[in-house]
Amino acid sequence: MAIGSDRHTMVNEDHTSGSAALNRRSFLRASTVAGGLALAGCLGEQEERDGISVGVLLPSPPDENPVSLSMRNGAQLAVDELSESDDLITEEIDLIVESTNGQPSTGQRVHEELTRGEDPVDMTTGIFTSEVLMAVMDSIADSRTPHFTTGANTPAASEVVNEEYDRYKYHFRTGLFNSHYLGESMADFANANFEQMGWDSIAVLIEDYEWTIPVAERLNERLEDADVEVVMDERYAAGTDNFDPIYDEIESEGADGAYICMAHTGVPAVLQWAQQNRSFGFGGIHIPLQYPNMYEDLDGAPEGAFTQNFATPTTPVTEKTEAFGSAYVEEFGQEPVFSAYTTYDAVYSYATAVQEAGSTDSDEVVAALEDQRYTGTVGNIEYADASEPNAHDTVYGPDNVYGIYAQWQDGEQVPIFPEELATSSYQGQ
Amino acid sequence: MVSVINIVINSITISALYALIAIGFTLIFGVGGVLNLTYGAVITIGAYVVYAFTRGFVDIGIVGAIIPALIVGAVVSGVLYNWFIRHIQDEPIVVMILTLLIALVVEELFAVGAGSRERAIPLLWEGQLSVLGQTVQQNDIAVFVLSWLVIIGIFLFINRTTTGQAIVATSMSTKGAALVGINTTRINLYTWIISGMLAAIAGLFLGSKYGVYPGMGLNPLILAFTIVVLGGIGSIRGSVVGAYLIGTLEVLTASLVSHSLTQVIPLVVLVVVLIVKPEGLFGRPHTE
Repeated sequence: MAIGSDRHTMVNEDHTSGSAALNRRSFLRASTVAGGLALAGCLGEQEERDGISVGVLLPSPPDENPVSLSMRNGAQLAVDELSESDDLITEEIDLIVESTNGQPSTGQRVHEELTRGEDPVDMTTGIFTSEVLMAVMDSIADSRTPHFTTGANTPAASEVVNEEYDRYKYHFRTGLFNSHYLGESMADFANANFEQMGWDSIAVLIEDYEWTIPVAERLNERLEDADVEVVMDERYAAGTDNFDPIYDEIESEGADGAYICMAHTGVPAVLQWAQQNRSFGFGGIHIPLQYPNMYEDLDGAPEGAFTQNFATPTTPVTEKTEAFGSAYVEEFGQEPVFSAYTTYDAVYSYATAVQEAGSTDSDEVVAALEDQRYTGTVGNIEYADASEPNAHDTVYGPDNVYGIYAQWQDGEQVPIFPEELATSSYQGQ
Repeated sequence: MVSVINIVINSITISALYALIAIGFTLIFGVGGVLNLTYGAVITIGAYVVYAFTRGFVDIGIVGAIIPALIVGAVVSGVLYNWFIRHIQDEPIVVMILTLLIALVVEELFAVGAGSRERAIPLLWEGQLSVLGQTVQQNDIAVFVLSWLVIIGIFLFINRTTTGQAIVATSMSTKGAALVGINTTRINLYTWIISGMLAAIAGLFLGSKYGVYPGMGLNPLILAFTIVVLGGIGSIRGSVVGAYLIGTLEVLTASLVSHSLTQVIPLVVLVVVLIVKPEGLFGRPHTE
């Protein structure tokens, strides 16, 4: 049974800039230009710029999906902060929110409207569904508008940048690493932790969806040299919702833990693991378990399960993480999920590049981004350059963006890795 | 490798759940030949009612929540028939389109009103016990027992009561039933109400095992359709056999072949059966 499938048949667009805001932008542009001309003698070589507009492409209307809501809110918070402060940019900056409904054709259409419509935006961000991202790559290239992916993890996007750099160089992926590095991350966690966790033997359990292919490939490569016995390695059918036979087999094989990679099927998997009091541990990459509200929603079933994540509001991944978490909770009344951090960082990454370039000219911004090392909320963001694999993706590593692993302990997401951020150790079954 | 007893137990328990899902669907499909695509939506509504009465607005316990779930399932299904379906039930394509639209609207209403986040509802019977050396979930035992109570109850109702016999007569020939004085509209309404109650119960068990979310009714609907077609439209016995066949095949595939093929094998079997016996295993031709 597919979880979280694309169900929406209605395109529900949330424009924070309607006709009134279009008039506001026109007024701001005119007054900014007028003010800029008046100060031209003092500005040296600074280029006169209009107001800046940011477009964010959500996978669904904001209130229907925590990833969408966080994506929108993260962008909004960044835009509001930048508008109130002149530290980075002085122009007014506003946000336009669109939903792709997880559909490639819709994503293509809204991106074209945003970037080549009546009032084109200066940058776009967001996108969660990998199929939508791939459908939008040509529009990004044709519009020559910098785009910062903050949700979709397919390596195919950055491979395209490598293959035809001049055309696709406007694509960047901010704050999250692609699925190849998700596999790398799982392997790094395993090597660093399985021994003290008591996981001498594991069952690798991966849902059979497109997004897990690169994860599984890299994880299995690395596990060959790892000091752990893989007693079971299952790529189970998409839509699986009855995990009884799988869990019975894991127990019959005597695995200490189920090392998992799940998104669509994650909820029934963790529900049944908890309800059935299984003897093996449970953790890995489990997207629903990243969500702060999931513990309450699933009535405590996540207790003892752990998952990779990019940040939590109370984990000081960088000096900015907790401040962002507090500001987010204060503004929106709930905790963010990963897409809030990455989208917030994307807007700031762009603003920083604009300041560096002294211009919103796309090519100049791209050049500034390629040299950028920006401390965001999820780590030190640097983009791989064209000579490296996965061009313009966030660089993975302890000194860049590394992610965290958090276990649900007594109803809280407690970081257990990396060591410098861990506030507790893994609690076994 | 798991044991034979383990495979048998898993087959029985999942098949019991599938039978519970399919019976409500087969009543409507068999009686009126109506492809009721709102069946999955009523499952969803039942699950959300249970959530509302256990973890939402109040907590009256999972057993207590069965009552409002049954009531709401019955009312929703009855209203659907009385207000919409009975006026167009002779036009199957229109019925299919209308029920599909209603199902989509229901899903969207829950997505907007409750959000798309999955939620848990309590198990009817928590805990495990040992059967023949195998650990069995007590909730699975509850599903098995309830499933067979429903099957036997429906069987007795259909075969031993006047209303039940009227349902059979209506399913065989609406004109013939009308000719002998059966109020076919009322019979259809009763059938829809019973189906709604069964859907609500299915929603309780599906929700507790898989989570409650707006789109949760789609897969059970497809499953029910598959089982009913396999077993034979209008045949309760066929639906039970079909459910156990599909459930067993799923577990056998998972345990002996591959976990990646569990969704495919039952569909392959369905195709084979329909080629060999198009009316299904126990199908009965619909007469006019």
